[in-house]
Amino acid sequence: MMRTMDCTDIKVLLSGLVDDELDGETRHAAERHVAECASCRALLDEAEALNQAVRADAESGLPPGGLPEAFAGQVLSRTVYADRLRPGGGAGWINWLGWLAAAASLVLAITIWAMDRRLLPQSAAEEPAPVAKRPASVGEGMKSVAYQSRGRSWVFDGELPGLSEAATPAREASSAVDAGSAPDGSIGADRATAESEGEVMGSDGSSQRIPFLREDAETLDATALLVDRLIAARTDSFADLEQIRRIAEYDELLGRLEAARQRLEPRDRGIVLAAEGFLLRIIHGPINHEELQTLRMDLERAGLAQALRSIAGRWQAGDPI
Amino acid sequence: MAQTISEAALRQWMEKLGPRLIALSTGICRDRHRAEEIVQEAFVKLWRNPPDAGEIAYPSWLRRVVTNSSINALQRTKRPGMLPEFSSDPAMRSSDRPEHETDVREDLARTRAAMDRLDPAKRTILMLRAYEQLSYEEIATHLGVPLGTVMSRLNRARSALMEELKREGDLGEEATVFPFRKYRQA
Repeated sequence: MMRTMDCTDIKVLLSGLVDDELDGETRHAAERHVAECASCRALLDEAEALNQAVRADAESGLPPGGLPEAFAGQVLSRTVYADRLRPGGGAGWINWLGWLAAAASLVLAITIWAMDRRLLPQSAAEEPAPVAKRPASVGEGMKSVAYQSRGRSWVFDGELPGLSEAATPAREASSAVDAGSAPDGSIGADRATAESEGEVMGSDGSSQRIPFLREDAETLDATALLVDRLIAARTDSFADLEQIRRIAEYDELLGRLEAARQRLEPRDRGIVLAAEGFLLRIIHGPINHEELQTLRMDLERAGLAQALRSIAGRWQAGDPI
Repeated sequence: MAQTISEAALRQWMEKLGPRLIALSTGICRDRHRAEEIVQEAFVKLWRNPPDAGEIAYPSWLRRVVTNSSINALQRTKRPGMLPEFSSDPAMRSSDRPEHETDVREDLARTRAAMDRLDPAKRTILMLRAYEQLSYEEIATHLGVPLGTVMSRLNRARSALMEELKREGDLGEEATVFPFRKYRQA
């Protein structure tokens, strides 16, 4: 039989008693003493109150309204979504976008490398004569024709005083195309339709690239601005990223970039493709902190903004596009 | 083969356990913002490397990761954690509140201040017992210490908290007992 407990025993067993961790017989003996001893009962009450106080303190740390709003999104962007974006991870369109972004980066690198080489002085043999040859058909059957020289689109509209003056930069002709017809009505509806489909038929029936437009140059400049903005953004904030995403969506930049790319020489298309990959990554996200940092560094290192501005700048200077 | 956790399952576990784990971490490291980061990190770890025992082990596994990370976070910064004063929290101001409720909140503020001053190990064991309501055996497993150590640590932690509460309340010689009745009524 268990002996009767005293106050010293209770002090030793107090934690076990309050935490319900004593075995049956010991517990009964302790409870018998506490029932008869006011000071031990006070000690027990005090210990129980302490537990309550700790619990109340802990509960005051519960986030009001359950899980914080951004909590789940941040965890998912580092786990499930990040896995889908990884080559070989997950499946579906998000994975496809990841590959597209990677492919675009590769194209960008190759293009910039190729562009650097092209900027070096070239031999005269490689350079076609700068004089545009007037097609025989001008002023006869087809009133307007576009063709290229030195990588630039040229358009002849009807009778012009001389070759040097007749050669109208594409941007001027294109504004006429946008209006539906040239001021002298020389660009017909067929031509406008063909241009909207991405090509112009020459007098010999061959396909010609349609001219680069003012709005194309503006699209490239706008995209360059967003790239710069992302690079300059604070590293610990997604607010800038979200803003860039909204601007890109509102301005329908992806579609405009694609249209501009089709009006460029193949050598410049890689740069715009890389910009499209960048926007796809931003628009479709999600991107965690590490990925955002990597994206910034890649963009800065690749010089995407400069490359885009370079194309737009060449157009503004009237240089070959 | 490693298990995988679907997006839906991960969301469910976050909804179910997230708030409580944040409270546990806040109770130990005394910093809500840091606690959220710690718990996020724990869920990322869970997704990457879930326990072999399966879903049944998730709660205890997460609790262990959060507890250890919360203690480690304090050790890394060497900065004593401290929750905001109740007086600076508009929701906790006592004006326009019934007297009884005001008393309880004042006691809660004292508890918070006293807990702030305890060392992390004592806070942790008190949280595991009083908030998580783990048995001694579970605490022993959780912390990787013998059962007897759990008992002695709990005793020391309670004594230390009581001392801090008395100091915090600036109680007189006669008032040696914590005003537990308010808590029992609350």
